[in-house]
Parts: sequence; structure tokens; C-alpha cells
Amino acid sequence: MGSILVAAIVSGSIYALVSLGFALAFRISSVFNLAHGILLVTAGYLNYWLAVQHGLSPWISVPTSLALVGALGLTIEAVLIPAAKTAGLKPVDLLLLSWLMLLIVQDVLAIAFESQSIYVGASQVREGWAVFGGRVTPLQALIVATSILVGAALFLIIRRSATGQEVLAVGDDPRLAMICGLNVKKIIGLNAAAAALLTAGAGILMSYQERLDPTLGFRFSVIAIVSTLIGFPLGPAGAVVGAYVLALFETLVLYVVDPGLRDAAVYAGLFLVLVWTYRRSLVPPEG
Amino acid sequence: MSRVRDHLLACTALGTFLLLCVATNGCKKEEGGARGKTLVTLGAVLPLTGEVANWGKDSSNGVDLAIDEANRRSAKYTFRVAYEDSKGKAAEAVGAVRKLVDVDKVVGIIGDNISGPTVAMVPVADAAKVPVISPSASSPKLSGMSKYFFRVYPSDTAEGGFMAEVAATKLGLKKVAILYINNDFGVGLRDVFSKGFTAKGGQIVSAQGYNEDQTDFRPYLTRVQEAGPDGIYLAGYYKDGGAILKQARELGINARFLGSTTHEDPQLITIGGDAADGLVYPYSTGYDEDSADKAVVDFNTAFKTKYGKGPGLIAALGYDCASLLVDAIEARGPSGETIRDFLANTKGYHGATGEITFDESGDVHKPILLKTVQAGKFVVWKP
Repeated sequence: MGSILVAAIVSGSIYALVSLGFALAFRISSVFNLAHGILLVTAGYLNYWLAVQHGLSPWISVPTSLALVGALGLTIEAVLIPAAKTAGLKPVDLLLLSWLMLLIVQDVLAIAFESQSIYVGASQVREGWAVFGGRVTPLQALIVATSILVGAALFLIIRRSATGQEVLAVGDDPRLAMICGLNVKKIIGLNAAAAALLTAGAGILMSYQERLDPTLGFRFSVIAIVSTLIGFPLGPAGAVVGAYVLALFETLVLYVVDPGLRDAAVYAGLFLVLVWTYRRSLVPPEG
Repeated sequence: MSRVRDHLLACTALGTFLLLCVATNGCKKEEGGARGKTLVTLGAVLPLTGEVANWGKDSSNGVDLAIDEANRRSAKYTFRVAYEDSKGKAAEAVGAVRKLVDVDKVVGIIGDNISGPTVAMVPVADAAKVPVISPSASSPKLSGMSKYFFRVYPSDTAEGGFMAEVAATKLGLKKVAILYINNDFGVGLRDVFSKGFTAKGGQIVSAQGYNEDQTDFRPYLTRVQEAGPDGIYLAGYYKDGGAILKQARELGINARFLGSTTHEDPQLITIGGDAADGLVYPYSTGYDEDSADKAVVDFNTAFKTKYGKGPGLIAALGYDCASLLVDAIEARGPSGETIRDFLANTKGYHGATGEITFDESGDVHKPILLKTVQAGKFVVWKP
């Protein structure tokens, strides 16, 4: 049981960072951006390219990767999606376009890195610390701590700061926010950059923990969508709760049913969540 | 009317272009090689990209060296190799063989490095009567699969059986768990090892198969840990092997790890780190880079001259495959049947990977060495 708990918390922490990034972007764009997961994969591969293939110190490779992928995310969320919406594209069109973008970037990474998975690990491997009957490595502890701290900080910023309130206002009604004098473009840009940085950070952490593959992007986009939908009633922080719920479900399937059902567990989660949200919108509340 | 005319013009231009392409391609075949020599095209289906791209590239280096040497030496033929990337996948390999046979008109094919694509492509080559010679595919399924199939790497029946013997007698293991990759190679090794180990009185306490794209092995390792083995046999490749060793150490698993020849690759150390130390595995290829055999010495020297680095096992296997096909063509001519007959009668051939004799199933039998990982290096195991 301890192993399951530890595995769920570690996975959940990665999922929480990705989902928080997605939820932030979704709050303003209202688009199910299937290309979101490529930010995670691209950051991991970029960090590998800089740190392993060019021998740069992590103090250079990590911030550089974060900055470049942050710029990519900002371009997608703050430039391309608003332009597409202005051009009259419907949400379904945007969903399809985001999926095509995912495929394109995925193929570019596959060509650039010869379809090989990458790993930026350390040469010294130590036994993990015994925690609740499971084992936690220092890197896993860092992942969990990062997720908790970043999640808490973001929650406080959204709820307590003027910038956070402006993000919520633009998310609710961009036109009204503009009329009230808010710099909507700047807020969208800041929000998109934050969203991309969260997801990129998850990708970089993952690349130190296990191998990353060019095709992982779609899976993490689905994870982000499922987590956001699960936690939607709880507001912006709900994606974090959703992430841990999904991670627990997935881990139970892997450890109790079959370890080969990782993808099936995530897609089953998507199916159940979609059915649940569909039923909620069909069945009106009592009273 | 002008639109119809434009449309007709475009179709005519396209049709002419396509006709020129086909005609040029055909002419190239009939022209012959340099200075009146006959041009002979060989095919190579190798994983040039994908998870085992290192093997594909190393094999192609060995093949290219053999072809360069053949072209310098041959008075009758000019050899060229048409490469196709299997990406380590069966479907890609089948498509690649079809293209090599139908379009490039190859007379022999080298490939694949791994068993799954090789098992898939052999029937296609067999139907076309084109010999295939594999550098490193080892699944027992391939033995006798086609009279046109040969390999310079021993079947897993040799390696798996050997490791079962080592586990039971030399290492004194009583309970072993198996972690195997879910493909022809992993399943084949699992079966051979299980049979051999249980025949020696050992017990297989767990056998977990994982998919090729698996990166997190903790759920599998947790199940294995619960079974309480004193040894864990890894029937997979270097990338998954490295990840398993690393994650097992992190989970505090202290069992003895046994591996396969496929684990000898620098990436095992990169991924596994110092957790790879202590892995015991068979080296069943016959390749000894320090051998004084003239064929090995000449190969090593030529490789270092061409590429500026040492060859390694996989390059040597690729070299032997290409050299055997070239020798067959020089001796009997560039036809599938005559090449096949030459290969089938090959006995005591001195190659870069030692002595090669094909049995009636197209297999070779080579001595097996036990090796281990020690301080990040692959060394001979001394118990």
C-alpha cells in the first residue's frame, strides 16, 4: 500500500504542474488545447540537448529551456489562439488545429532526435528513503515539494493579488475587463507564460526522473484536460486536486490490475469524466 | 477552354516527369557500375532511427566498410547498398523489404538487427526468393523459418539456456523473477530461460512482460519484489535494462541481476548509472576485439582508419553480413538462388566476429563468454 501511495503522490505532483498550467490557460482561452502536452516534451528534450549533448550546466540548461518553451507557450496561447478566434474559428476547429500542431511538433522532435527517448539522469543511484512503506528518492521529493510550493504560491497569487484578480476578470469576460481599463493583452500574455512555465518545469523534472518520448505529449494533454475537468467545481486550484485524484486512480490500476494499463487508465479517466460532466449538464440541480 | 488546356498541360508535364523518373531508374540498373563492371544492389533494412538506432548505425558502418573494400577489390562487380529504416518496427520492415525487392531489385538483404521486424520481413523476402542475412536478430522463431534466411548471431536458445545454467549452478540461485520485453525477442528468451532454469530445479517466481515504450518500471518491480526472488533475469534491451536497474536500486531491491548480450551498450551505463554494476550477462557473439585472427585484426584496422574509432560488436556483425553476401556474389553470381546456396554451404568462414558455419536452419553456433558491469565498464566476469 505504501508503494501505491508514494507512486500516486509523485505522479500526481507532475500531473498537478501540467494541469495547473493547462487550467490557467483554459481559464482565459476556454480552448481544449491538445498541443499543451508538447510544452512538457519540448522542455525535456531541449534540456537534454543543452545539458547532455552540449554539456551545459543545469544552471544554464534549465532556465534556458524554461525561457524558450515559455515563449512557445506564450505564442500559442497569447498570439495564435486569439488570432484564430478573431478569424472566427469555432472551438471544435481550434481543438482539431491544436491536435495537428501536437502531431507536427511531435514529428519534428522525432526527426531531430531520431525517434529516440531521452534521459538526463545522474550516474549515482541511491536507494530511496523509506516513507509510508514505499521508497522516495531525493528527486521525487523535489518534484513533490515543487508541485506543492508552486501550487500554493499560484493559489495565493490568484486569490489575493491584483494580478490574480485581473486574470480571473479577463477569464470571466475579456470585453468587460477591457472596458474597465484592464490591459487584456498583457494579462493574457502573463497568464500564457505562467501556464507554459509550469508545464515546461514538469517536463524538465520528468527528464531527470525517467525517459521521455516524443509521443508523450498527447497523453499529458489528456491528463491535463481530465484533471482540470475533475477539479473544475473547485476553481483554479481544482486542477491540482484533479491531478492527484487521476494519479491515484491510475496508480491503483497499475499496481492492482496490470502495470501495462497506464495509457488505458488515463483514457478511461477521460471517458468517465466526460460522462460525468455530460450528465451534470443534462440533469439540472434540484430546486 | 484555357482552363481545360492548362489542366491538360499540367497532366502531360506530370506524366512526362513520372515517365522520366521510371525510365532513369530502370536505365541506372542496366548501365552497370564503374568501368564496365556489373552494378549489384544489396538491400539493408536496419533500425536507423528509434530506440535501438545505435545498433542500426553501427551495423551500417560495418556494411559500408565491407562494400568499400569489395568495390576496391572486385574486377567484375560494383556493389551498392540501398538502406531502408525499419525504425525497429515490424510494419516498417515489411514495407522496406517490399520496396527493396520491387523497386531497387536487390539480390540480397541485410537485416534487421532485432527479432520483431526480422520475423515479419523474412516471409516477404522468402516469397521473392531473396536471401536475408541478419546481424543480430536472435529469436528462436527464426531458426529454419525460411531456406533464404541466415544469421551471424546465435539464436536465443543458446544464450537463454546458458544463462539458466549459470543462474542455477554458478550463481546458485533458487528463485528467479523474469522481466521481459513483450516482443519476439523477450518472449523467446523468457521461454528458453524458464525451461532451462526449472529443469535444473529452480523456480520462476514471477514473469512480468512490459511494452516497448515503457519507461516507468516501478509497478513491475514492486510485484517482482513481493515475489521475493534472489535473482532477476532481464530479457530486454539496453535502454529498458538501464531504467530497470536504476529504479530497482531506488526501490531497495537487492536481488542478483542477470541480463542478455543486448545489454552491452554505453547507454545502459548512462541510464542505469552505478546501479548497472554487478549485472551478469552472456556475450554470445564470438566477437573478440583483441583476437589475433587475421580477419579480426584487418577489420579492426580498416574500421579505425575509416571511422577514427573502434568498431564494437554490432559493426563487426554488419561487416560479416555484407562480406558474406559479397563473397557469395563473387563466387556464384548475383542471383538469389546462387547466393542462398553459397550461404547454406558456408563452413568455417573467418569473419570479424569469429568463425561462421551455418547449420541447416541458417543458424550459427558461437562460444559464449560471461561478462559483467564493473565500475561502469563491460568486463569478463570472474566469479
